[in-house]
Amino acid sequence: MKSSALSIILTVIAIAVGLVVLLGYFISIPGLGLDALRTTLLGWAIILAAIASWVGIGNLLTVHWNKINNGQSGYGYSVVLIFFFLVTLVVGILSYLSPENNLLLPIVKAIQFPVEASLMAILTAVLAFAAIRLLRRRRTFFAIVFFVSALVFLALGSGLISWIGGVLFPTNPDLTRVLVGVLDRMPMAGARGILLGVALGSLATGLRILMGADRPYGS
Amino acid sequence: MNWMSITGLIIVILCGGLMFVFMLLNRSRPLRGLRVIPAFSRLRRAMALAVEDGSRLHVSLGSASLLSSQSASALVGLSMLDRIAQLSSISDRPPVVTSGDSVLAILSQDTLRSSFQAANALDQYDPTRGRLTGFTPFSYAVGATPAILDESVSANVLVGHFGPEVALLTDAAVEANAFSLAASDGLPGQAVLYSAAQEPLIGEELFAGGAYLQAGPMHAASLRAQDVLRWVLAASMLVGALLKLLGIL
Repeated sequence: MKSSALSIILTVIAIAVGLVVLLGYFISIPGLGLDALRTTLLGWAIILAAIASWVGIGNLLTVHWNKINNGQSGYGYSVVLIFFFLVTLVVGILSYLSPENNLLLPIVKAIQFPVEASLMAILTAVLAFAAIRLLRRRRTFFAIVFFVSALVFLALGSGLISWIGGVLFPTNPDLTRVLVGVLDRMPMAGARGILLGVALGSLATGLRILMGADRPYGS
Repeated sequence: MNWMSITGLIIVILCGGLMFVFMLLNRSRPLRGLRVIPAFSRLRRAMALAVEDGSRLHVSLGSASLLSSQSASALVGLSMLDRIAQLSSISDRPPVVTSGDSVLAILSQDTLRSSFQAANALDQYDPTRGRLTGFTPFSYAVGATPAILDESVSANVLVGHFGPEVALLTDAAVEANAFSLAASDGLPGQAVLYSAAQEPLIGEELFAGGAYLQAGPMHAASLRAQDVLRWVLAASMLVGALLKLLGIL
């Protein structure tokens, strides 16, 4: 009973705050104060998100600590993670929590950037294998279209199509320009279509939460 | 208020009104007339198999901040998680959830808790099943892969905002011989998922998850509202282009 009453209160607060923020975005009438209220509420949300980061760090450390305690497979990585977390935390505090401090910057530049760049390199190999797997697993019309268009746009991006056009039609450069122009616009048109669908989906999702039909804050 | 704000407000009100009307009209059979998306049937089968063979489901919510414009995809992931947790609450192994944002991690724990409470299985709830695995997209993806590889996961649902790094997750799913259904609201993520995921969802299919997992009549109603608005927008764009061509606009 108590938890159901709490749930109703939480829902009412969430819907009211959501409505104020939404209306504040569209309606800007001087003297109404909706815009100022919206800014204040968003400011509170940012502060709460910052506090949530600490909760998230606590969760990350708990999961890895449990892994070490239970001797689960790969617990060595958890040891490394906790050790370097503590090192970074100490260095961060010593550098007055400024990310541009000379003490903290080398950690980011010499460790985090190269590691993420290496992951990006691994990703290219993973994606190449995924493309091959796609043709083995899904030999559908659209899979083949996807694969062929990926190759065509790779060629387009590298300037190969313009070069071939120049070799084949040296006297008519407009033909190549039109072809490249049409090919250039195709992904843009497709992307806009997809983004339109995503935008409408986002709108409907937001409205479901405003109507209380979806409650990501628990029920 | 300028005309852009007025148009925006009209679209929001129209969408809300349509959702409400469609919910009332299709209350008894919310999915009637909606096209079949095979990926969701396969997900249901994978969930049933996971419950049967005692393996685990893994839900990944991406790395979008709830304060950003990509939050809607993460919210869809949370509604799918709610439904998945309810459907798999009879399993010996509760689902594991990974995310790349602290707020999302907290909400995933809350969603798991609510779902187990609703299924009268609160004793199965373990807060460490909702995890933050990293703060940057790559650290999040790398941090989530052990969950796929080491925790007897047989099905993965990756729904949220992902970039190309999601390929590391789908690759881990292939290595673990596990099912993967994946959707992202970002274009690079969608392109990668089309080739890397077993069951990719493209564009607005991401937002259909709740409806197809029967999370409630409002989910199906919002799909119908999206369809109507899509036609309205497409027609407006065509008319606009035509008027521009004729020199009227």
